[in-house]
Order: sequence, then structure tokens, then C-alpha cells
Amino acid sequence: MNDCILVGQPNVGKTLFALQFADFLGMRALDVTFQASDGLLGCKHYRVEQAIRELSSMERHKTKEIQTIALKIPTGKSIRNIQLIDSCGLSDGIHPDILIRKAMVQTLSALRYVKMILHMLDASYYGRTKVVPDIDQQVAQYGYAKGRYAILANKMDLPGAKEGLHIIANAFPDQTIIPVSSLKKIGFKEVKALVCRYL
Amino acid sequence: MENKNTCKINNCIWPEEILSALERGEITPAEAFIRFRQLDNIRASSDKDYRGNSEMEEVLKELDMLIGLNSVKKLVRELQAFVEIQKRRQQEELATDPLVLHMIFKGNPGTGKTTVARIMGKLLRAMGVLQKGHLVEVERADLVGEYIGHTAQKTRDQLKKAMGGILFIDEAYSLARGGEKDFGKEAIDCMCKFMEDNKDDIILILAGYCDEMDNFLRSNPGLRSRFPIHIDFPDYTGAELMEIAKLTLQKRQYRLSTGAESELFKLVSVCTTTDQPHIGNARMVRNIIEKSIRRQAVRLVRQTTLTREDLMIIQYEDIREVEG
Repeated sequence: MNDCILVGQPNVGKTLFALQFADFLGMRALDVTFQASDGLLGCKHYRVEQAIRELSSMERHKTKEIQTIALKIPTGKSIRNIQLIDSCGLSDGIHPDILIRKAMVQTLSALRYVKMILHMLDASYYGRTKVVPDIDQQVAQYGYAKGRYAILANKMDLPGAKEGLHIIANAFPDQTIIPVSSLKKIGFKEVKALVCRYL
Repeated sequence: MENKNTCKINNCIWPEEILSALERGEITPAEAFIRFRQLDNIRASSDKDYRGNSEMEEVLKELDMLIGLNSVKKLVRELQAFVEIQKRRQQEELATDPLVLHMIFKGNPGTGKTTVARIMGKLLRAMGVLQKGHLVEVERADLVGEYIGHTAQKTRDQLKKAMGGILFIDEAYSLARGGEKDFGKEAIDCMCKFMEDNKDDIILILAGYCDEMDNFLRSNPGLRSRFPIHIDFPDYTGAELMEIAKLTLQKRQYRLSTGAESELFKLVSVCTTTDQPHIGNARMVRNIIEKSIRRQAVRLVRQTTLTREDLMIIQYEDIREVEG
């Protein structure tokens, strides 16, 4: 199975990226499979704009379960089928809500079996705080060791993101870093090329 | 309390235990990643690992290219998987079985024993089990000496030559020929001792005909346990031999005419159905092909005008003359 997981801290723009990326690939409608922490599966058919409205949000931890989107990436004359897994955000510290912790377990568990990891960071947050959170460092080290790993520096359209990108590049010198903007669809072409190369 | 938890987490050996601790709120996601890394003992794949993998793929492809030998291919793949998993278990500090990979190949001549042994050498080298993976092919005369003490020295020399690779002893049953006073027994004893002392760096393969090898193992009970892997090489079927013939010809840029093909099939079928098992198999086919190519040359050398096709096609009479 060609599967690629999107991980990162809560509210870095993982879900919006996944949906906008589908839109960028020319998909008008999506089949999203939801996998609850008790293993229950559900599938829903969305139009892209409807999915963006319903699934992404400005709140933290909007995604509380694994959401798999079946993507069709056109490559030359053929189409490549890829499962893009959107996951619950991983934060530093122990989260008080058991539901969120269960969702994080799902993320970690999926992370171990996927072929490719896309680690999303909020470049504007890095620019503002100038701090590299522990969780990002750990995910980066794990992903780098596992292979087929890349960092997506998101929110490049926001102020301070350029400085944040510089901090990210210094903090993770060995990794592939692609500056993107989920909102403005910046850097999507590069992400597509990378996914096609890795999967 | 925190110390107790950390200690508990450090002792867990299953990823599920780490995930449960995360769910219970005993560790943070960052700590879970640290534990996963320790557990998996994963590190960035170095160039060497990549090279090893691609080399292994190549070798397995070579094995798949061999015609027939399905049971042998399956066993080689099983062995490859076993070695790989033992290595992974070792990395995870789990109990592992020692890798005893000495083998016995039983089969008639021309059934692919040497070819498979050579591939096995390359495969084990690619997997990092053997340092060099080369094949040293010996027979009785290379091991058994002429006077007392000579045998041990000759055998040890051959074993040393094969260090880091495979020592392939063809017609190994002949070492037990000649009774108690024969020096062959001394060669076997010397081999056993060397195997024990250098078990990590050499693999021995004893090869020979089925019945003779069975008798040989019965007469030396200790050998059976020292060579845990037994591979039977079945005779090729008529269709498989035809495929081998076509492949051999194709490699040399020749082709069989329809008449020649049916004549060769007749010839091959006669050989595979007779009671003489030793005359069949791939080597015989190769010899027939060699001879037919020479016959074709004789036929063509008298002709003045030759097309490209004439030079490539083996005709009915070329094969028929071989038969004669």
C-alpha cells in the first residue's frame, strides 16, 4: 500500500493541506475514511470545498481520529493511487483529555507502518517564538531514521514565516524541507514531485 | 512515581506497551518516540545497507531466472527470510537461534546443484552472513592425501581457501568409500573439527547423487545433525529441459526451426523416460546444443550464399545428427 502520513503539532494545517492538495491534484470529490480509536471505520464522500468547511478548523485538535484520503496523482500517462493519512496533532507534554491521547496513539501507531512521513511545522510559529519544540525534534529524528521523510514548513504566507523557515533549516540541517502554504497552495508542486519519487 | 513509570517504560519490549503508556498518560508523545527509536534500534540507512539490498535483489533475480527448481527456489527464499529475521531479532536483543547453514544437496548430475550453490554464496554475502561468498569447488582427490597426515593438511588447505565463503564438495559420498582404512574418513573428521571452530565464517555443502548421499549419511550419523539443511534437486521434466535449451540458444543468438524443436523434444523425452537417471538433465541438453551448433557450422561451411537467418537457425538435421 502506498501510504503517506501527515504528522505535526495541532493546528499547523495538516487537514487543510491534505484537502487543498487533493484540490491541487484536480480532484473535485473525495472519499474520506475515518478510523476511530476503537477500530470502527466510516467513509464519507465530500466535495472538496465541503470537506474543507467541515473537516478543517482554526481550533486545536479538530482531527481526533485517523482520516485517510484516497488521492489519485496523475503522473505522465498513468495515475498513481496514494493514501494520504491525516492524523491527530502531537503536542508536547501529557494531554489531559483521554480522547486526544487515544487519537495520538493512533497517529503513532500509523506512523510505524506507513511508507512515507510528511512532518508539518508552522513556520510562522517558529518565527514568532524562535523555539524548537521537543516533539518536533523527536518526530524529525524518528522520521529521518525510518527514511522517506520530509518536513513541510507551512504557513509561509504569514508574517515571520521566512525567519521561521531559517530557524527550521538550522534546527534540521539534514532533512528535506519544503516551504508550503496550505491556504495559498504554495509549494504543492514540489510536494507532489517528492511523493511521486518516494512512493 | 515518575521514576517508576520511566523504569517500567524502559523495560517494555513491545511497541504496544509504549502506546498503552501514552494512552494512560504516563509518558508524553516525545518520550514515546525516544522509546520507539531505542526499541527499533533504527538508524539512517547507510549507503552500505542500500548496496546490500540491491545486491540481494540482483541475486534473487538470478535465482528466479533458473528454469524449474521451484522447491529449491522456495527453500532458498525461506532461508533468506530466516537469516533476515534472525538478524532483526538480534538487533532487538531477542533470543536467536545460531545460524547453522551447512547443507546437503542431493540430486542427479546436471540438476543445478553447483549453480544454486554459487547463487547461495552471493546471497549470503549480500546478507552479510559470509564475508566473501565465493565458492570453492572440490572433490575427493582435492581432500584426500596419499600418506598418513597428508589428508588433514590437504583438507585444511581447502577449508582455509574457502574461509568467508562456501566449500562445495562434489560427490561427497566418495569420502566414505574404501572402508575403515581409507583416508577419506580422516578428511571428514578434519572437516567436522574445522566447522566447529569456524562456524561463523564458512559454509560447507556436500553434494552428490540421492541414493549414494543417503547411504553416506547413514554411515556417518554425526554428519546429519551437522548439516541441518537438506535440499533435493529433482530431475527436470521434458518441458523444462526444452525451455533450458531455448534459453541457452537464445543467449547465444541461435534459434530452433520447428522441425528441430520437435526432434529435440523427442530426444529429451527419450532421455527423461529411460531408467538411466544420470544421463538426463540440463548438462545433457547443453551438450546436445553444443554439438548441434557444431553440426550446423559443418552444414553451412559448404554453402556459398548465407543469409543472417541461415546463420541463426538450427535445423532438423543438425539435431538428428547429434542423436546419431
